[in-house]
Amino acid sequence: MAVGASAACSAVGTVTGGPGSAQATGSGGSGVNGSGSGGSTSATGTGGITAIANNGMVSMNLSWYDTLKSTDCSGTPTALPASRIWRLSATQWQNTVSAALGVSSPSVSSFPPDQLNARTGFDDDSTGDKITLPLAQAYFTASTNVATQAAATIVSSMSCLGQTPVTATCAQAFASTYGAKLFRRALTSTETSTYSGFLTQQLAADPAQPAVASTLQVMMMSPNFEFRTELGNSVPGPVTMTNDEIAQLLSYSIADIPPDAALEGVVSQLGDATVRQAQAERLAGLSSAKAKLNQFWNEYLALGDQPTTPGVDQSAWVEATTFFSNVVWNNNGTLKDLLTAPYTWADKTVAAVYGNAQPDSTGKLSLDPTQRAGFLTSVAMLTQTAAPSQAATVIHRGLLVRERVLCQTPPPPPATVVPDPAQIQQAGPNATARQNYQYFTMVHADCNACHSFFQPLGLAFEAYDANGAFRTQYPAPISMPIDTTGMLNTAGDATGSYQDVVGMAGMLGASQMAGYCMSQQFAEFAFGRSIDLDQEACTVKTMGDYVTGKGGQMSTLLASIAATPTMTRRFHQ
Amino acid sequence: MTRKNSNNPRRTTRFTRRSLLRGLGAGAALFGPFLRHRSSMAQTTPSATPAGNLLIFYTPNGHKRALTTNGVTAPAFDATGSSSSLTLGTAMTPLMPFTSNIAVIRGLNSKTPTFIASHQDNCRILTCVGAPKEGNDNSQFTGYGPSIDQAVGQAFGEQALVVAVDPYRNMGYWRTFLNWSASGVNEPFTKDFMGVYTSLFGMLTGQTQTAAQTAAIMRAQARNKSILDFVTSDIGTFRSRINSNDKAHMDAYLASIQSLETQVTQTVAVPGICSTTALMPRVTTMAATPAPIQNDDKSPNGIADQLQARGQLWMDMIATAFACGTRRVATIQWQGASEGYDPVGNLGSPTHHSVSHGSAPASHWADIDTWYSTQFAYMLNALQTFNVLDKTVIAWVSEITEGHNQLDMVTVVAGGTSLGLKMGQYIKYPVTGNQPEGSGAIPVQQDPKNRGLNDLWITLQNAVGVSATTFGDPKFCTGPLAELKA
Repeated sequence: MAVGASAACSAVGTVTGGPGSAQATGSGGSGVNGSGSGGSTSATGTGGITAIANNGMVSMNLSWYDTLKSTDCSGTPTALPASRIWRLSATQWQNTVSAALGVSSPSVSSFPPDQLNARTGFDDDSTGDKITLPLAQAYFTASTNVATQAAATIVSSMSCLGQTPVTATCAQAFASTYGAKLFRRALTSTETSTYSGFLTQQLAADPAQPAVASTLQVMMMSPNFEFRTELGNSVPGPVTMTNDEIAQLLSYSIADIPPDAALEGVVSQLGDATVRQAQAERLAGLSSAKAKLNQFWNEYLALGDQPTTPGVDQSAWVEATTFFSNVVWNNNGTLKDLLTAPYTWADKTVAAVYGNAQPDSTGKLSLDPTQRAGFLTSVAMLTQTAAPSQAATVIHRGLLVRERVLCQTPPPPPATVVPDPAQIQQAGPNATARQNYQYFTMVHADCNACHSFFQPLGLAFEAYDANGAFRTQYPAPISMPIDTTGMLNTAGDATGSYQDVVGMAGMLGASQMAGYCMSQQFAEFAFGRSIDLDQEACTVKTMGDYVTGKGGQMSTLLASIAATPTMTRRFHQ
Repeated sequence: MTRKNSNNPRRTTRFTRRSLLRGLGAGAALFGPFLRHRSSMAQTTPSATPAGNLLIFYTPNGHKRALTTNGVTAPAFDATGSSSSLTLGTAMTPLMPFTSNIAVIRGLNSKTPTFIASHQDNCRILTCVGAPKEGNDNSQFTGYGPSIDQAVGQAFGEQALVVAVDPYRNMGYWRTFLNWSASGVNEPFTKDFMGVYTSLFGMLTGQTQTAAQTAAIMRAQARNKSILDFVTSDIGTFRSRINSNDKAHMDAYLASIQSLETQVTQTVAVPGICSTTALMPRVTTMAATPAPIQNDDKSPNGIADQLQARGQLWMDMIATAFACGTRRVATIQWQGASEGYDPVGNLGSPTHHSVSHGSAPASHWADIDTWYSTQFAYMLNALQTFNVLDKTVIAWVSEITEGHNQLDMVTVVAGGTSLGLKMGQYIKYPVTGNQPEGSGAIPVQQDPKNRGLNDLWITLQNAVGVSATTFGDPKFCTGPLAELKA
């Protein structure tokens, strides 16, 4: 897109960032433990409880860690997330239908892929996932197929449905039973009457089986099925989520499944934080929860779907996912392990990029610890961040650290600038990346106000070429040694100097800031919305502290969501 | 090594999201403001009686208006003439057999561009509604009103068809965000030949049905209607409980259900007035040969024939649907804005875009226009074969002009001679001011002396039977183009 070629950067703001506003503390409002009754107060009620302003924008507070550390989370939150509805993902749709109707693995292949939230980068998004026409078409087709399958079994098991005319008792029993299964809550008396009325109407024109199928289909097309809710009693102001809503938040956000029997068994006790936490930890042990955390990692690294063509891309994809799976699930690994491990699991294709080492019989590959450290130096990440221009590669890799590991997002380029880093590579045709950057700092000092924050970090990654291979010297015609030293500044407890990426990764792995950042990223994934590090510092802090308290194991991220102070309360408007 | 994921764009999304393109707001239309013009989406009952068909023919990257050879400048994608004559430029030569069915209009202006006013305004040219605010942000990729095809389709109570020719893209992206069913709600394109065929012609068997078969079809339609009517009611109840911020979710779902209901209860056309016999084998072949999906801005070289074959099948299906009366409004997107295959050099996307920036001699750009003129002529011929050209209005538009802005556009309008439109003429509106590329277009384009694109859409919607007096932002409407009316 041609948008002008000005490189003027004067619109760029400061990168140091202010302290930001901590999440409101102090007392007010009712407790965080929902009673399940859906109680509420008005918007101007006691305690001045307000809704968290979530505009989906990226926080520019680069000093968020300092703010978070000093935030007192012992009080009751006075700012609550907005009440909301949240469309089931394709996986959740499939699992819910399967659990409710006993249809194994109903096809969702025709569902359009869920769009990634452009802010969070995750696809299970409560703010943007609307039901477009293609999705509605897919729902209609899929629900037709599933309902037809299920109806045969239901009619044979509920013989009263075959009687003519069907009795009101029978129709209501069908509606309340299958409505509750599909809606993950008991139907109201009005709903039972409405759905049983629809069944009776269909039975007047169709035999039992298609009539039952049509009724199941209206249930599956209902927003009560398609969306999970966090509404409480829908009275404006602070509301406590119903126990059924809390159960769904736990089960879907941790394991992508509807509340199972064990969770339903304690649903009336979910106002108790201890019960919630115990259920969260139980759910986190399910195989579907493992799949969910693996999906998080996939989207966190922006790996996308597995390439179908054999080659380095495919092998690197497999390596990245296997590395996570083995470190986290087989070795109880921590974020530090993911950042610093001098080993991986790779096939020969990827192993060749790493050097001469060969994978052992399990596929484990020991790497040179002076060259490699965790996922930052993996082939998948190094090739993902490689770009046609040297400057772009450096910028991508610097941003990889700042944005993904430290949750520090610099301000966007000014409106008039074309984000084409090739334009700033001007020190000469054979200049090193560091020389080019130094030239850039002289001729574009205004731009460097922001670039200094991330671009120097990318210089350390010059020890890896576009294919991810290690090198100590640039190839001809540059033929210069690569200087990988640098300083990680404004990085909380990760701040310090490093000799190379391995050193940098060690500082990051040891830092609390990176741990909190990972919690923030997982919170966005699990809660399906932006989590502002200023406004929801206590959400991130409690999650991070929970993980730390469990020994830092990555797998404990799943259950950490239950520890958040706003888990059961919302602000309705 | 290239890290190109053939199936999913997520691999690079996070850089796109948070850094490099955030300033340009790529993908922003996914969650822009959705409130304005929402009321138009709730329109379910046909409010207009169709008088004719409407087709939007979209090609990207603008056109080369004129070429200079040996010091002589002559129209290329432009024309000369008057209200009673039309001489087509060299890039329009393939359209000469249809000269009496064409009007070339020079000098219309999109009055609602972004501050950049470039390719991303593909979301404006059919909607003609500006963004809530100007800036280098998400809003530049979002349409804030229904596009003309969707608005007319809604007035007719039908789902306007949106098809894409490019075989390599399967997911919507700002470059393809041309059609909008309502403010902030992109109408996605389809590339599913068999699905569209079934939707358009599934019940046109050409054979006499038994009474039982007819009854079964009627019952299936009634069942579908009762299901979707129930769901519509359910949505209304559910909507009353939810946070005001989330009501757009229900509005979108409601709109989708209403469109779906139109599809699954579509009145069956009477067999015999049109024939789909010739289409079925081509659709079957095309459906059996799934196109490779890449979903980025690039495609390989050497696919010009494939593009033409896909485009021509879409055009034949559209012409047939118009003739059968199974659909009356459609858009064909040939390529995405700011990308585009070069069918003349047979070079992969985005070569067309590069050519529009001067990567090849100017004549090459005109040659690409000529290639598209050939396709446009194919469309006109297909409509004429079915004897519906005079009852169909076709507008050929691009998101930019030669100057990479939306000033002083060259627009080709065809057909509609039975709908009160006057063809065989050249209409030239004066344009005041000039606008260097990327310089910010709004003051020039919104100059009251410059005629808005809105007025073309008013004229065309009137022609096909929608009596509205404005389209898009009313403040840029001055009324129908009187010169285009017979």
